[in-house]
Formats: sequence, structure tokens, C-alpha cells
Amino acid sequence: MAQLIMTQALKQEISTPAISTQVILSLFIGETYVEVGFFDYNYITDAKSKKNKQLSKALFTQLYYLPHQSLKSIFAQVKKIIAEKNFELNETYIVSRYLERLQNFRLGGSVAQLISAGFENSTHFGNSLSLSLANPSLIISKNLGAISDEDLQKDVEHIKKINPDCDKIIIYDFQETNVNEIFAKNGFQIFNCSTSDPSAKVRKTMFNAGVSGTQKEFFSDILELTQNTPTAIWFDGKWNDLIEIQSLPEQLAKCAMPLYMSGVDFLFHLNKSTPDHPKRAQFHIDFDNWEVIKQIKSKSWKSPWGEIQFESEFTKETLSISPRQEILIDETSRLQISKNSISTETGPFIAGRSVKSVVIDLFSDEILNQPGLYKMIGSPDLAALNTKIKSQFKALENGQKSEIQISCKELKNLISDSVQTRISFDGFESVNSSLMSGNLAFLFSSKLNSENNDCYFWSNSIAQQLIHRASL
Amino acid sequence: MKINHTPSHLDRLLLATFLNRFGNSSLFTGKGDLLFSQDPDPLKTTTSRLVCFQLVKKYLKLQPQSAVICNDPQNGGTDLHRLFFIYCINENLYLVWDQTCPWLDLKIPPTPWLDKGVENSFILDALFSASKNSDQLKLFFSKQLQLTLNFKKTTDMIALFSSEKYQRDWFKVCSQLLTDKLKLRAEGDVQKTIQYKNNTFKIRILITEKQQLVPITIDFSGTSAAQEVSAATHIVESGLLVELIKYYGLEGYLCQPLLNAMKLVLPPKSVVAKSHPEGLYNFELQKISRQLIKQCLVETNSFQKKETKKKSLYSTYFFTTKLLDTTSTELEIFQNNYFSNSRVQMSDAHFNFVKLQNRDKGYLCTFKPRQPIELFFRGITSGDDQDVRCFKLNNKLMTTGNYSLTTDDSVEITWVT
Repeated sequence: MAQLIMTQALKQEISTPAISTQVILSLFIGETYVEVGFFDYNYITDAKSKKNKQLSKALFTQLYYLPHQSLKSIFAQVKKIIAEKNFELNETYIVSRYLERLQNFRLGGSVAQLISAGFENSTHFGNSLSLSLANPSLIISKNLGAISDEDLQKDVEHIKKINPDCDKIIIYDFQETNVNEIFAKNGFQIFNCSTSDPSAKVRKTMFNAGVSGTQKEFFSDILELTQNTPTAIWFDGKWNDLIEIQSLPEQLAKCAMPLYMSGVDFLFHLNKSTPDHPKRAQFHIDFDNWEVIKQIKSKSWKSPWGEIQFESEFTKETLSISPRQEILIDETSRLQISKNSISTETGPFIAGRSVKSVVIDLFSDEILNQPGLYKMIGSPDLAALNTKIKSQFKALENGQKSEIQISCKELKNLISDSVQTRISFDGFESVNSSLMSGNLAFLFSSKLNSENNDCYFWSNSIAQQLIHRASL
Repeated sequence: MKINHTPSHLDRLLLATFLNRFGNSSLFTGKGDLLFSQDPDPLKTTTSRLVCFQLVKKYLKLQPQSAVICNDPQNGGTDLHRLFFIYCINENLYLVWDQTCPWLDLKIPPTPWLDKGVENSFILDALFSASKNSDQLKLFFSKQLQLTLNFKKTTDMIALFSSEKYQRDWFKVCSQLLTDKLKLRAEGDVQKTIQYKNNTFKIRILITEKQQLVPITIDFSGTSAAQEVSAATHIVESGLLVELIKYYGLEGYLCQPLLNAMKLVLPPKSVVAKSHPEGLYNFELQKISRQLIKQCLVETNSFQKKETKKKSLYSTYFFTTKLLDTTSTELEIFQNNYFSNSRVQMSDAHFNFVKLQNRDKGYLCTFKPRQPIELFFRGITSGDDQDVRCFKLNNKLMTTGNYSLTTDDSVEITWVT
């Protein structure tokens, strides 16, 4: 009899197609990691009618470490999950810090400039140590006034000869219609600007132009994943319809700067919308950034490329210690922390490929104990990874030759004390307790009586924002 | 934070975090020793803070959470726009910081500001009423008071830094580090003489590992007597300290053991040892002494023949622009700009550029003020550099001084980094 029932059930499963679950994809695309969360579409959109506006558990979450694979390949895996779980993707919401991976690079390598004589290559005048936003060989300077079509065509050829891939141009001051027309006809994306603008505004246009290639590729990868289903990306304090932006070239040309700030802007507004915490400084501690976000209005952003115009209600500051600063033995054989962070490409030891220990490796015990985080790193052998990290730190400890030596455990405590002191200083300015976010916030939050001692997930925050929005 | 924590060289992280919200600032022990110091501003003021602290400690008994302010350029200060705050955290720990206050235009001798955390309203009222910028000053002092409130949140750290054992151990750590760093660099004895603005600057640096001698001696004997151009000893010493720290890689360890390791000879009443009533030449002379000691230090460690290492000064400027005719309380009315051989940092908040180029030969630019401004121009104008690094106001070369500019004036900059 039992065998019969089982057979019938099996038959039923085979013959009836499984009912798909309507889902919202909540996606965070960071500098080095991607977080995917699927939530029940009906639960979130029905928040208005529900008394309980608590966040439902995600149907599925997954973290991916970016340096291990490309964004395209991660999105292919997400598609596979959608098919396997029989999800029906209704909407996608994205918060991004992906463009922050550009922060150590010069930009504008394939951006030409047509500029009035006397203003050539002047964008990093504000701070000569800042990274360049211009390719000097693609700058054409001319006296203001009419330019013949023939001359403009020669300029196009000159640019293409230097860099055949160059397809963007910033045109300063020249108002004549044929200027834009000729470059547009030759396939250039045009950005207009004026030399009389404040340098921070000029830099903003150059940034938008310099990042537009990466942005185009980024948007195209996302839309390939979401396949024409409604897709929104957070910037400028709101969700922006990605399909609509793609169809508006003028808006598309202006969104690189706000898109760069998407993650911090989202965190700020999420906090702002919480009635209990109107004016708190908030701290974000994750794999890439240890920072404080303050409710202080700002007109510009002191970027690695110089001051860039960006009006916001917040300012962000990095804490004095960064997660990817290297732990090393210095010239006096003392254990030290490097001044600069190592690149994202090799990443920390806990990511499995590095040859350099960094600050977050000191917290490997705590990080590898978090199942979600460990899964992201994706090491097949946790014990081997742990041994490798421990032996690397042992080697560093043994490398010390000075009379007073420090253990890596003491160094870790010192870093914790330093970060916690900074948190208490900045938190004090507004209220007595601190608001924390980020998947490594739990490393420092317990002593501070923070509300969130669990591992933080961006996807949960995105869903929480959607519920808040639906309930308004 | 454990109160019995034994310091290591990495305690610089804790000390730096403790002073994170202060700019140029130092911590002193109850005995008057320098525990930690930082100088992010272009004008370095560690020894100026030390002088202010010693002056206050000698004549006034500060209670915890009490503070004194001063800005007298002839008594430890640098210029009227820079205000020094001497704050008693507790009897074993003092904090001294200095902050640019563009709205100050009168000399303030050591004056009580805080009494057990409460502002001295009598003094502040007198100060505000004497100034046409009373609103700006009120906001400025309120921000400084806010900074001190943070200490209530860090009682553990304060207890640690105030502990005599911790202070002793930290000095020991820094002494050992200094000894190790000194070993990594060559010993030597280098002299240098340069002429600048009709003054002779003579510097000799002696670095030795002999135990009975102070490791580093810097001697300015033979330098001209002060006439028009001069600066106080603490201005020069602050600059020398910064260069020594950079040379030996001791950033984050500027404290008493380093001061003790240096013997400084500055002939009284010489160009490098006589304060100027307005501190007009402070930046210029600090930069000259920094450039000289840097050349000497590099030469000490160089294998090249000494006679081939002759170098002159290079031009460098630090100038501040201040909007006139404004009642704004924002610091935006005050913009700092810095030009050196390796760096240009300039804000265009107060200017419109008429020309702005960056070519192989460096920057060429011309600007006009958007509205009337005052320009406090400080720095070295080197004769050798005049073709490649210079500022011209209406075609006339600019040198250290204060300038009032209207919208018709034009400033031309040529600068090679």
C-alpha cells in the first residue's frame, strides 16, 4: 500500500508542472562582491495591507566574490538559480558600488576633448596629486568661433588615428551646431561643458565621460540578466528605471557620478527613512570599506580624481584603518600595517588566492565562522585555509626582531580598539549609540550595543526599503 | 580597552585615532613631555604648541576640562589667525591643538576659555564684542567646544594614556624605534650655506652614533642677525622635526625621545630665532630650514661627492584667500592653496580662470577674483626659479605679504612641478 501511494505521488510530480514562485531579485553589486537575494514578490508588494511590516526571510541568498569570476559569469549562475528554483522574476532592484573598483585608475583614456585655446589639460589643477581624467594626446584646442566641417572632419580623423576606439568627446564652449553634428555623425557620444564652469563641475563631466564605457557594459550585463522585466537601480535618493534610462541618452550621460555613489546614497536614505534614527552617523563595515556616513550636506566629493561636483545630504569618510591594508614586517623587523591598501585582484588571504596578509585576515576566525561569508569565499577546504592563514601570521610574528614584539592577536585587538574608538567619537556627535551596516559590522558592534549583531545582508536592506516604500 | 595594556609601536594607531578630529595637535604628559604629535597643515606647529603649553603650565594651574587660548606670535603663537587651545584632560594628560580662525584680528595672550568644561562667558563676550565677526567667532568656539565633548566617550583610553606606566613604556618603545631607525641611515657631518633676501643661512648637521653625544645636532651658528625677515625658534624647530621624521620614517612617533635625540643651536636674535610681531615670515623661514635640512640629510646618506651636491632653494608658496564683504559663518570664505616642487593644491572657489593650461612646461594660469578678496601670500621666492615658478599680480612679481584684490586684478601663475 505504501509503495502504491509513493508511486502515485511520484507520478503526480512528473505529470503536473511545478507552480513557479513570483520573486523580486534584490541585487547588490559591490567592488569585490555580489550579493543576490530572492524575496517573495507578493509579500513585499502587499506590505501596504499588512499590519506586520517585518521583513520576510529571503527565499534564497547567495554571495559571490568578484575577483574569482566576472560579473557576466555570476549573472549566468543567477539565471541558473532562477531556472532551478522555478522562480518567476517579476522585478529587480539593484544597489551598486561596482564603479568604486575604478578608484585607483586614471580615467578618460578614450575620451577626446575639443577645448578653447588656453584651457588645455587643466582638470587636475586643483590637486596635482589626484588621478588624471584626461588623455592629453586626445585634446584638440582651437580658438573660439566657427570651425569648418572640413576642419572638424580632420579632427575626427586625427582622434581616430591616435585611438581608433575613442568614441566619446567633451566639447567645451563651442556652440556652433555643426560641431556636435560632425562628431555625432562619426559615432561619438557627446558631452558638453564650459571652461567657465567651476573646475569641480568640469571634472564631473569628465568623470561621466570617462566612466561611460564601464557603465554601458555594466547596464548591458544587468539587462541581459533581467531580460526586460522591470529593473530599477538606486541613485539620487530613489529607484531609477534602468530600461527607461537606457532610452534617454541625455540622462544616461549624466548618471555615472550618482551611480558611483549608489551604495552610500542607499544606506543614507535607508537610515533617513527610519523614524527612530533621524540624525545618526552610520558606520559601514564590509569587505571593501570601513567608513562613516554623516548627515552633513555637501556640494562636492573629494574624489581620487580631484574635487567633483556632487550635491548630497551626506558626507562619507573612511575610518583610519582599511580592510585591505597589508600586515608586514618593516625595515626595522617590526610588525607593521602598510600605509596603502593592496589591490582587489589578489584580495585578502581569506579569499584564498593572496600572498599578502591584510587587516581583515586578522579576523579570519570570525569571518569563516559566518556560513554566508565563508560560502562567498568558496574555499573547498576550510581547515586548510585556516591553517594557511595561521601559519602566515605565525611567520610574520616570528619575523620580528625588535625587543618589544607584538602578536597578531594583540594587533587585532589594537585595530578593534581603534575602530571602536572612532565609532564612538563619530557616533557621539548625533546620538549615543551607533548604527552599523555591512557584512563585517559584527566584528565591532557587540561592545557598542549596536542593534545589528548578525551578519548584514544588502539584499535584506533592499527588501526592507521596498517594504517601507510599499507601506507609504 | 585594557587599562594594563602594554604599548607597542603600533599604539600610534590608538593615539592617532584619539586625535582624529583635531588637526595640528599634541598630547603632553603631566610632566610636560610630548606624548604624541601630528601636523597635517602646511605650517608645522609641534614646537609652537610645546611652547604655548609650557608657558601656560608655568603660570596657570589648569583644572581637568579647563582650557586656555592664545595666539600671540611673540609668545609661542604663529600669527593672529591661528588660535592655540591648551586643554587639561586630567592632571597627567594635556591636549594642545591649533586651529585657523580667519575672523580673529586681535592679539590674545594666554586667556581662560573653559573652566571645568564651562565656557568663560565673560572672556568670550569681551572677545565677540570687540570683533566685527562675532557670529562667526561664536560658531568657531562652539565647534571647538564640541570637539572636547568626545572625551567623555573615551574614559578607558584617557585612563590608559594618562597612566605614567603607559607613558614610560611608550617612550621606551619610541626610543628603541628611533635607535633602530638611526642605525639604518648613515652618520655624517654636512654643512651648507645659502644667501636669501640679503641674509646668510648657515646650517651644519651632525649625525653620530657615539653614545656620549646627542645623536642629531643641527647648528645654525653663523646665520645672519635678524633684520626685517625673521621667525621664532619654535617655528624653525617644528619644520626641522617634520623633515627628520620623514627622513627616518618615524611618522606617528613624534614624541619626547625624538626631541631629546636632537640638539638644536639657533643663535639668539638671528633670522631663525627672533619672532616677528605678525609672524609674516613664519612659513617662508620654516620652509627654508626644511629645504636646507632635507638637502643636508640626503647628502649625509649620499655616496656622491659633496661638492657636486650644491643646491639652491626652490620656490614654494602657501596662500590663503579670504572673501571680503561677507557675513558668512562658513569656512568657505577662507581657502588654502599650496604650491611646492612636487604638489599643487588650489581651490577655484574664489576665482574665475581666464587661462588654465597644463603642458609639458607645467601649469600656466591666470585668474581674476569673483569678488574682492584678501590674499595672505607666504613662501619662498627663489631667484633660480623665477622663470618656472612664480606668481605675478598685474605683471608684478608677488612675494610674502598681504594683498587686497578687486575683480579687476589679475594673478598669473607659472608653475612646474
